[in-house]
Amino acid sequence: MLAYVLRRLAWSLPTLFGVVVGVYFLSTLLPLPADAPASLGASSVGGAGEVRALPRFVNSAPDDVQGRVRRAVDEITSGSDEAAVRLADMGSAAWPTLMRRWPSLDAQTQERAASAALRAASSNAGDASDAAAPAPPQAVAATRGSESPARQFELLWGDRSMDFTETSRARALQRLLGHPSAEREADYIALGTYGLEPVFDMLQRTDRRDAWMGLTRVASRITQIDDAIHETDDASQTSACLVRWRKWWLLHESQYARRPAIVRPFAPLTETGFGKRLGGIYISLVTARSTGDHAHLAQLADSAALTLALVISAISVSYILAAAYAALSHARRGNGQVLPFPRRAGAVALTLLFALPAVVSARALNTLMPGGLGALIGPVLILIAGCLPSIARQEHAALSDAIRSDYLRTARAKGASERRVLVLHALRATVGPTLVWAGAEVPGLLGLSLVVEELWDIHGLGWQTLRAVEQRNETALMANALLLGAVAVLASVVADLVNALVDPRARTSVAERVAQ
Amino acid sequence: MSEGHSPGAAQLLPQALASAHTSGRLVRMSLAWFGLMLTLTLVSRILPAAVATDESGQGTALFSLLCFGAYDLVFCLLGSLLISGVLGCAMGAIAGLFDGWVDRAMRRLFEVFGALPSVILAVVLAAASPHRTYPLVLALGLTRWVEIARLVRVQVRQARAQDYVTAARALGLSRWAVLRLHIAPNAAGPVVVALSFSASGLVALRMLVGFVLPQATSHWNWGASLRLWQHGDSLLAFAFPALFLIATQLSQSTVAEGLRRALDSSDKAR
Repeated sequence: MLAYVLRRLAWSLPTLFGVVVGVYFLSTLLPLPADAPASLGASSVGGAGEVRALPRFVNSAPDDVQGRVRRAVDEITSGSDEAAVRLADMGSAAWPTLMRRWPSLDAQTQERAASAALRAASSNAGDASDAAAPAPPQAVAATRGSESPARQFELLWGDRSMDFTETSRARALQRLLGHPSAEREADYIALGTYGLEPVFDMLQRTDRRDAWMGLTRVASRITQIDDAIHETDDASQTSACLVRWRKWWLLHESQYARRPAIVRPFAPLTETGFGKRLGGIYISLVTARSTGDHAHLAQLADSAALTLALVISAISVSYILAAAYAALSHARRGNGQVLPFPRRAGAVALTLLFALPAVVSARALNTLMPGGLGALIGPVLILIAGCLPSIARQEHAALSDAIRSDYLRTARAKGASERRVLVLHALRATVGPTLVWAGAEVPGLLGLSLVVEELWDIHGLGWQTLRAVEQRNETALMANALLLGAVAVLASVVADLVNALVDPRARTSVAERVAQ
Repeated sequence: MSEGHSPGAAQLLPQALASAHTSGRLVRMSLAWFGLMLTLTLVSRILPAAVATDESGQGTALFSLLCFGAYDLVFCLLGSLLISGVLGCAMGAIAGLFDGWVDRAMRRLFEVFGALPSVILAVVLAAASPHRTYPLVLALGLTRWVEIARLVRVQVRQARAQDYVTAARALGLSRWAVLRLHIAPNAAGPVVVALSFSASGLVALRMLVGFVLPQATSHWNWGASLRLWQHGDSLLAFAFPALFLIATQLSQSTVAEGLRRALDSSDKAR
């Protein structure tokens, strides 16, 4: 039995992955709101535009900083101004690669590349001097007036090349974290974007709050994005800020850092919109755990629990009602005649219920009882109306079959009362198969939960899904779809299990399926 | 939601009203209802200016709501039935005709599409292109084709196992000729029945999307108008769309049941 459950669950994993892929693809079709912030800032959109700019599933030419610099320099050689802007945007992270190519460049390209690089340098310097720190060497270099840009840049590199190695930047960061001071911070910030990689490495590895504060402050000053952890922030604010920064790095890593050889083969898959979205989900989960802020997880679990409670209570009530209806409609008088009334009245009622669209009944119930007790039973009533007809019909048909079977004739012949035959023998045989049927109703009920949660303002999975669609939050949409799919799969597995517990015949058939 | 997993309680009404005579009349009444819906649709298409809403009177607004709502419903229903029918038959036939990896891959595809929450599919596609109906029709069609494809696959496999098909193959008919001449005529009945039973689920889903996204979908659908209806508004503006919807769903299940009796030989034993 355990083997069967495990196999069912294992087989559902590829399916759920397919669901996530499908929902991601769908969510990329949603147009972005015109005023979507480009990055950071609004966490709900969180660089949606930049993710959209990536290919969806396969990136045929994933670039890291080396590749980008090489391409930019090649384009500058062929006279592109746009490439110069890109080079300037990369900041000092581009310099080591640029200087390796430097001797092979012609004089004109050197001039243009150097002036782009110096633009980045002067903006860094301006930022550093704002913070009332001593002017960094590069600021001095950038003002060496009359020299040509290429010469200026060579001089600057001559001054600073010792700082632009991986060991020296790592040591600088360690010094800064070990004994923080304004000078050390200013020094580190003067490294520019070349200093970002160790900052985010450290942000992942450390779990000291003061280190997080220092690191996010450095990152925010280097990138000039105003977002850092402050002394007064509580756990959830800290966690939210960390998530924002780590997602930012997930998106921009390839612009400022070299890709290690070990992950390079996977880059075509990870440097895609889908890869970034999956990474975003992972970061949200992991960061919430490491900061001790379980708000994200707890919120998701809460809404899942709410929706599940709705669905499960609706199914159980429908199930009981269905069994009662089936038993009543098969009840016989003393002379053996079936009672005509319950069967006909029930059939007509169920047909009407089946034809009653949920949107109509939900709107009417919501208007009649918008709050209080109504908010408690209204949603469940709507869901019951959604699944009762089909469950009741199934139960009715199963009981009709069971009542004609030989073992019931035997039971009657041995003198069992009609009630005993119906309830103890016939009904018991139909419980299991109907339960499997009820499990298949779960996806439909989850769909209905959108309507009732929206109307009664219940913050369950359906409500969250609608908010994710409204806010174009692709990550949340994928997570919600994954949860909805997982609930549906689990429901069918649980229904099978309970069926096997109730019905020994089902147990044998499951055992046979495992043996095959 | 009546998600179309089953024929549902629809079959109970004819049971309750017993005689085949009466159910035949019911089917005719249901067809007449669809005739009315089609008429309203045509009115909204041919004379949009005449029924377009103006602020002059309640009656006009209500009539135009009914006309355009009927158009939306008929269009969504027929379009999505067409899509799911064509897609389901094609995919099911491929899965049924070939063995080995093609069949396995197709079944995996069915499973993924079956597990894809149909509400998310429909809501996202509707939100992706507000005020247009075609993407929504596509989404509705995509939520139902898997059932049809599974049915077609089983039908094709059953037919392939029949002796007369083996004989036809042995006489040199190609795979596609066998499909066209021998398998398709036998599978058509159950497919039509299954499609007719999925119709009520499609209408329910379309109304659901209109209901949860009243801003994003075109205003002239009954789901959105039910959502936007407020307590103080005219009761007629609630009652008419609601009654029309209920009548449509009732007629659908009656027509589906009639089709099942006429076409589906497998259920006659019951």
